[in-house]
Amino acid sequence: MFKIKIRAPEGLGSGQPQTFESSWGILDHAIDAIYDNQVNTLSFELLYHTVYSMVLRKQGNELYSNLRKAVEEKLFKARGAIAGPDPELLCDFLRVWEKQCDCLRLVSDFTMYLDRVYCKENRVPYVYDLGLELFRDTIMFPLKREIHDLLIQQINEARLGGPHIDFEQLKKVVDVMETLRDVDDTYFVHEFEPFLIRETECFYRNFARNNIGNAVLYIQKIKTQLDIESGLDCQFLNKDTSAKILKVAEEIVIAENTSFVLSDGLPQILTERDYSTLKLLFQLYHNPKDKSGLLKHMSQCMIKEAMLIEEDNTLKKKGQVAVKWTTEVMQLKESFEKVFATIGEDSANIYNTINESFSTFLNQNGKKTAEYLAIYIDSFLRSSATTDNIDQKWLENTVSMFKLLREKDVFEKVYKQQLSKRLLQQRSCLKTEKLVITKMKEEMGIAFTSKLEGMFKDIIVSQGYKAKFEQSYGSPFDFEVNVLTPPCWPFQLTALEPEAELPPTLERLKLDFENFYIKNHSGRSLRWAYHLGSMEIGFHFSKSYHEITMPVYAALIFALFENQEELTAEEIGDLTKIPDHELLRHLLTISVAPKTRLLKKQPFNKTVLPTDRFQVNHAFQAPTVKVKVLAVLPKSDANVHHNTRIDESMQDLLKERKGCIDAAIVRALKSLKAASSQSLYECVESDLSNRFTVTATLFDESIERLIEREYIQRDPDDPSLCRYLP
Amino acid sequence: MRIDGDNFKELCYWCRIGSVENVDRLVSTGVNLNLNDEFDNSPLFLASLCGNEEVVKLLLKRGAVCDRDRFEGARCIYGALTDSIRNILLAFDISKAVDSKQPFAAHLSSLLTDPSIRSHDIVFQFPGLKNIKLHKFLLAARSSYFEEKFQGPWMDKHLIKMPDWVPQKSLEIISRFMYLVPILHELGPTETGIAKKFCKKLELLDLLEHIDKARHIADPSEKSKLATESQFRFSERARHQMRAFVGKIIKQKICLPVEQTGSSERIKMLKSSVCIPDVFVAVCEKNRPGYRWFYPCHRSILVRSEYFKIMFSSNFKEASSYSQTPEGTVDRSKNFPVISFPCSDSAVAELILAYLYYDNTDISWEFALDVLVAADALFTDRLKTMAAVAIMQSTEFLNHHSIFEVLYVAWDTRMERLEHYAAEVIANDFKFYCHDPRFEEAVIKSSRRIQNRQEADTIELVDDIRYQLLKKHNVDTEEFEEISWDEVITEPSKTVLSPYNKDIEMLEALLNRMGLIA
Repeated sequence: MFKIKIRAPEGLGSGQPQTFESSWGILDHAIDAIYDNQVNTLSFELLYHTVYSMVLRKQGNELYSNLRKAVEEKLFKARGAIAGPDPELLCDFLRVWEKQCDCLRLVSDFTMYLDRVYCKENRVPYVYDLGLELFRDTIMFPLKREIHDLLIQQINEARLGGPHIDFEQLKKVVDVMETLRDVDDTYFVHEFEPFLIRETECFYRNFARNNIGNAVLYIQKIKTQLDIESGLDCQFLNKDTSAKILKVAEEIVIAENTSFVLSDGLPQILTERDYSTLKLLFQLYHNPKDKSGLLKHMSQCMIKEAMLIEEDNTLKKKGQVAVKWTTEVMQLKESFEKVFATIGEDSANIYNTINESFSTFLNQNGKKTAEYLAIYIDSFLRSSATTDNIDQKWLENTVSMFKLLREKDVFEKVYKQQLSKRLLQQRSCLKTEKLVITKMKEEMGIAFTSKLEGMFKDIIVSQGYKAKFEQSYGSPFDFEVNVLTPPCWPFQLTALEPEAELPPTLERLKLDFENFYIKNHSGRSLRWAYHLGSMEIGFHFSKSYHEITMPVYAALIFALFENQEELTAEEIGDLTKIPDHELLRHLLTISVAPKTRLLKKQPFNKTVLPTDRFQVNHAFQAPTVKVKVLAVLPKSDANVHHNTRIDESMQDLLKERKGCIDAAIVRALKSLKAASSQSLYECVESDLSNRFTVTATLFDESIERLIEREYIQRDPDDPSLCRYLP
Repeated sequence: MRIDGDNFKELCYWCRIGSVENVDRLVSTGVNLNLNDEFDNSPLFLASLCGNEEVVKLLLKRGAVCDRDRFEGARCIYGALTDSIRNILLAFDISKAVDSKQPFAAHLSSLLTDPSIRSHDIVFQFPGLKNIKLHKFLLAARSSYFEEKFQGPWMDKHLIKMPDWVPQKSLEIISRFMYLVPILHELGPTETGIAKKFCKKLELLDLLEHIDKARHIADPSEKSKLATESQFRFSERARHQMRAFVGKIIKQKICLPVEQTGSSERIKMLKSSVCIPDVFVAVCEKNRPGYRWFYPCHRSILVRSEYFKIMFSSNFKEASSYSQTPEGTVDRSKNFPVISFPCSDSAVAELILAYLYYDNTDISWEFALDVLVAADALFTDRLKTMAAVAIMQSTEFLNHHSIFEVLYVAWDTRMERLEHYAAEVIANDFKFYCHDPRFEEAVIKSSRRIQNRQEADTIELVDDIRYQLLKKHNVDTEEFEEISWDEVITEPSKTVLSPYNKDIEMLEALLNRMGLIA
């Protein structure tokens, strides 16, 4: 049946001479048959051997161009079968495509020898690829406009929720585009994708324009739309393109319209604690650039909200004002944290934002804030003196607030003052205090808390003395001594004041203790700080018996009346040797202050003259057995005193800061030898950043001071350069 | 270990020399790769010692074992000439080594696991379970039990209903074994039990032997080694069986006039022969014009050639003359097509069949050229290489054929190796060929092989010959360049030419005469 004779190797050149035309005739007929769906009548063997012998006869070139012409012709005919620009076009197009692919596959089957030998050696596309190229040029390119328009029309319809979208067809067309090559990539990448992206931009610009208005609604709408978009894309696009499209859409609806949402919508959303919208916002603003914008606005909103917290000046005491204010700030912070935890956005990023916002807020008035926080802690510790178990949550929150302060030295100063009072007056629980200090140490390092810890140490060591002292000396009273190390404590030394005169029993006790102490620690000297101590005296007034706790000076004055009926102020001063201003203050305390009139003063008024006379006020009454006497400030200078005290402490603080800066500069220069002012400033700033913020003025002053004192010098050639002088 | 004849010695030689083609050829004769020569060297050791990376790769692919925990394996690794070879050896994992296979075995396995065409002609039906579709001819070739069945009670059946007591698993294992799918590493105790029962019945003695041996080995590495050895034995046994089967095909061939087609009575008889064919290969009988030989063959095997694969998987007439039974097997009541081989000599056709059925690479020089051309037309590259090697190895060939014939065939079939060989032959006897007019013709033909040749383009054949002349006279190219400077200048009068220069001068003279610049 097969008439074609396979030539023997010996006769490769010879054999029966076959003309190109007769061979091509066989193939041409076969191509027609293939396009007529009659492939099963064709002998593969015959066709293959025809091609094979043509290639061996070096007719590959001609064969290739004839094949090209034949296929082109078929494609051209097929192009005519595709109808006009209506929805049927895509159907027709796909039908033609499938048919062409099938036929091309068959043609390339019998031309496999041509592919392998001619095409490979001459670096031309294989027959199948040639067919695809022809398809692209004869059908795809001429129909490009219509096809693209139809596709985008359907895609946009789907975006608006159109129900009858044939995704399968879309997918098939996209597949065709991805199969066809163009330049060095696929037709899809080269032609359709850029078009699709442009159209997507258009669509979403429109969408954004039509929906700008209510920010909350806008957010919900774009969320829904973007969900539709991603659901849509995955049905007919590859992952890569889907991602690109989605990015373009997000870019437009989010990044391009971000100011409107964030400045108009966000404050409202945040104040109303609109969790679901917030959650959406975070989902939408997932890319890092958008997110950082969102967080920035978020932070501004939080600061604004925090600014609304006012100091309640209707309260009488400063302490109360501070506590209320601090509590509110902390509550606000906590509430923000809760907001973000609720919407599931509790990354470190968010907490940083909250912390930074509050830090900015708190440091707008740094000194006040530091003071308030210290007062707040003080009040809390005093109120929880009796409970052993501290509220860990409270501790965490407080310390986290403390961390945000920039002027930590102010805080330290106030805190130290209050801590000393609490410790000496035993107004709080030692264990709790210790916990707070440990926490601060964790945050700030050992340098910050070393003095505070020194105070603790003094107190604890002193408790040991008491037991030992009582063992060896015995005491007629319940006697408690705290030996304090001056540098740790925030008191000024009473160095030059003469010591007050004690009653003999007390004097003996004092000498005993001094002996005891010197014996244990030779070479140390003790100085008594009566103004910090207190004493308890029991006395039977005419109506009732009271145990009265009062400052040592007051007690000394009161004790004088054990032996005397009546004394003038001057006499009291002589007998006790109490410094004048203390005497005055304590006399007022126990004779004029309304609740603690232990003495009768004549004449009864609010000034004390040396001639004024005092007696025990036997008519004294109090609701409880125990009475506590609190020293008052002389009315005349109460306010002045208060202000000067603050000024004084501020002065101290400033002095301390200057010292710190000086030290830091010298420290830095010592290792650097020479540095420009700017870099030195940065160095010092970072060195001191956890204590306070270095200001330029302070820094410049320090430099001048150090130059004066010849620690450093300016470089003669370059005045901006500072050198260390050894 | 025992030394396995001359083939093994030759294999060792090529492993040292580094000829991938020759190693491939010899491995396909069934030489055991894991033997040692009289100096206790294994082929793998020799190849890695001599730095022949491609040979090492081929040996490992074909089943050579490199077990680093044993002396032989460790020795290969320490002896490896280059790091790259060492890495290949180190990457070799003995537990996976059973997967390495002979090409024909790999093809047989693919018929079961991933067939490119649907050519099954028998279905074993298990009630309620998946059917197993197989090829009758292969079962018959591999087991006399099936051979008898197909000649007897199952002759015209394509559907065998299996009784309840035969577990489906058993046929699964047996069929995998018969198709040379490596199964040994996946045989658990239950499978072993099942397999054992049926081995006896089907007389699969080599599998039985392996199971008995493996039972006493616990060490996993030892077990793997045994599995590799057994797998090797299985495939060699299969090779023998396939060889015998091809013997039957050849015995069955009939000579008929060209007009006779698939529907003639004689061919119908051939269809129901012991070979159980599903296609007929026709080859012209050169001594009897107008007559053709018909061989009863199998599509499943022919598709090893790319040409037949396309033919039978496309929708052309050849493939569409088959139809399927409802059970999905080939309908054997229909006529099968006759296809022809691109050769005009039954001996050549039989060599091609032997290659396709069992990797036969033993090609006699007399047919090598024809086999080469046919293999090119059939898209069977490995056979092409084997034919080329046969030409280059033969001492007789050039006594009967001219080297130019080889050269032209090499060009037509794009066998570069053979082109170089032709250049080498010409260079080695350059005095003779230089005056052969056929050489001139060849040079002209070579120059025309480049389309639109420019004056400055070289002629490939001349270049090849120049290179071979350098090799022949042991001239180092670098050394050569240095000499040409100094000596020409200092002693220009010296006319005594080296043998190399003599040859080159002859070549230049010839080119001048022909008016070619190259």
